[in-house]
Amino acid sequence: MVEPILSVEKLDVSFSTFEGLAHVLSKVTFKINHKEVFALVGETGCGKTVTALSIIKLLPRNSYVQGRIIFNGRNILELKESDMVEVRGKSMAMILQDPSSSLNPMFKVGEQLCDAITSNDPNIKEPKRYALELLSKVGFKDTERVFNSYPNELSGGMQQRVAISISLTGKPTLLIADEPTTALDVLTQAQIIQLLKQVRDTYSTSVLLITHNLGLVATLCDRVGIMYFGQVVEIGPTYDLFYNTKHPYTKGLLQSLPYNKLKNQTLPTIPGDLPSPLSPPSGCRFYPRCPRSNESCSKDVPEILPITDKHYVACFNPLSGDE
Amino acid sequence: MASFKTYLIKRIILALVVIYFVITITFILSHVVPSDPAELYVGPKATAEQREKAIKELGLNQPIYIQYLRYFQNLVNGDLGKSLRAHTPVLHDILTYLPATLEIVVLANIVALIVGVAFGSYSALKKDMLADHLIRIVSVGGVSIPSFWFALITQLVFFGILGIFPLDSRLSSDIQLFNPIHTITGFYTIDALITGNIVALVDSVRHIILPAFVLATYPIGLVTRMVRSMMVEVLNENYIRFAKANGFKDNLIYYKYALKNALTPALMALGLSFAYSITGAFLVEVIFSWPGLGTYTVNAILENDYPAILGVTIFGTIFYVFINLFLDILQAYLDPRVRLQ
Ligand SMILES: Nc1ncnc2c1ncn2[C@@H]1O[C@H](COP(=O)(O)OP(=O)(O)OP(=O)(O)O)[C@@H](O)[C@H]1O
Ligand SMILES: [Mg+2]
Repeated sequence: MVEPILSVEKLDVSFSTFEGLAHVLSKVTFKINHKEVFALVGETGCGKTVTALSIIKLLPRNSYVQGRIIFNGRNILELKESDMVEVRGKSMAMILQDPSSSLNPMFKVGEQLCDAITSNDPNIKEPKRYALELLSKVGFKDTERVFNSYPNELSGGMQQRVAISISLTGKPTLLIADEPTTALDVLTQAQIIQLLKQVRDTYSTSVLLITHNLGLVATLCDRVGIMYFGQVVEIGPTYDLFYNTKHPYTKGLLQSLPYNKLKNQTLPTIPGDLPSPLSPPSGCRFYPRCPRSNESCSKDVPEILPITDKHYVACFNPLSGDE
Repeated sequence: MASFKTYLIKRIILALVVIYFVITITFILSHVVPSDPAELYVGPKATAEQREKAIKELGLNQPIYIQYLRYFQNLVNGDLGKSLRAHTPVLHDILTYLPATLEIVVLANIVALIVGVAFGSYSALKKDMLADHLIRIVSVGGVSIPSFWFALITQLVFFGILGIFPLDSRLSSDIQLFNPIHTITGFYTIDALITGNIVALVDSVRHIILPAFVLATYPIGLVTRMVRSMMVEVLNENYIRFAKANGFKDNLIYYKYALKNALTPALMALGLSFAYSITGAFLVEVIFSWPGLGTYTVNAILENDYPAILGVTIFGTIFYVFINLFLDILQAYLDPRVRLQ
């Protein structure tokens, strides 16, 4: 079997806060293969951004990390900061949720792009030419004008495309996209998705796509991981996950999608609230809200195990195929 | 871009309005303050005739609105009136004393900019570590130490105990006699340098170090604190995280991308402290017998020399207003968000 490009193994992250230690991630496990778009889906606050920042090693100082993150055969968590500088931008890059704050407002787009180019590949002789080339790759026609613009002169969608062009300067093998379309309108979202597809195809980049937009997942992603409250509860190929759902939480999530409203009139929601990461429930973190929970759910943490060849679930009572 | 032009025009009009009001207030003051300008002008032993003559000369016999208009007319012609003590034109006095003040104030603020930016950004990068705590103690000290006390302490230490710097004045008297500086700009150090007067250059530098250092303590503290807090804020911005995540060189991130964002407010604060020091440096000037505008003002106040006091006030106001205007333009130049809004 081919080695995956990224393998996250039993990643635990906690933060020391004024109220105590917040256990934000618990045994997060998944992998991403070459040229694959992998989606990480979950509610607000479940730890998607924290997972992304752990991978690129930019968590704030008040964090404690355990587990392993193997990227290109090396454990990221054991790398020194000076080695990590050689990883970021070169073999792994990241775009953020809010494009309007991703670019420095004080500098022209072209200057930021050229600085990224010279930082990531000092051998490039004509950074400006490469910059214009990248700008046209991400879909700009009037590249010279964009090059000479300040970020504030561009729309959100244009800013996100500039951000993507910056992340491509070092031709990364893994691109982390943390909710790249959340702040954009529907039409622009479609453009950005199209662009990400194109990036995957032309650069053979693997993409970790963080989102709560399941429509985006269906159009773009090969495989999906569902996160609930700091745990990955189900992983599988996109089709299986939608049509052969195994985890009760995934099912609740799919049922609460707005398009189901047409059929059901009222939108089903998952009962209960998110627990606090300061005192997470023992055992499965979903059991207090789970319709299928039994005694063992509160005692032991279910490990994420294969149910079929490619479909993994962390549940003691997974749904069977016909439910 | 057009809106920036209107913004600029608005700012200039506002500046002129401020100047107009200050001038009017000084005019009113000069007429309600209970003293007799003519009497002061001719002195206590003058005859009634001489007084009459002075009243005519000063225009005090004219209706008040004529006096007001003439006051403006004179100002526009650069006439700030005559000093009551020396009977010299006030503007001439100000321009004579100004270079001495500008010399230490400019030097102090350049030092403050360099030291403040270095301390402030280093402190921010080492947030909550030992270096940060030390720098913060120093900067709080800088803004809170009374300058006259600190001036006396530096004299005690560097002149009294160590004997490495002179006590006061701009130049030693023997240098003044045997190697006098040919005045071009009024800045002794620069004049000595251009005229190749090395002996005087060394001497004037030795004299300027202590007062400039004392004057710099406040703006050093100010700029350090400003740059540190802005930089800490900027380093938490999304665009810094984005730049790090995408492999920008650390030096670029800290000393280009973060510093430029943190620098603008520090420059603004420094500009205001600079403008303030033009007349506000008098404590330091008096202690170091520095013949600057501050010293001139203090003497004018002590001797009830109203034209001189009012002249300095007007001059200081115009200076302050124009520095402010300049800072606004500078900020717009540095920050595209202001320029393009
Ligand atoms: N520096 C920190 N200190 C303490 N707690 C933190 C810190 N950063 C994140 N958290 C907590 O970790 C949890 C997960 O946050 P995260 O930002 O990863 O959520 P998310 O899944 O990305 O949500 P969203 O969809 O809103 O972006 C939240 O409860 C948050 O409060
Ligand atoms: Mg997030």
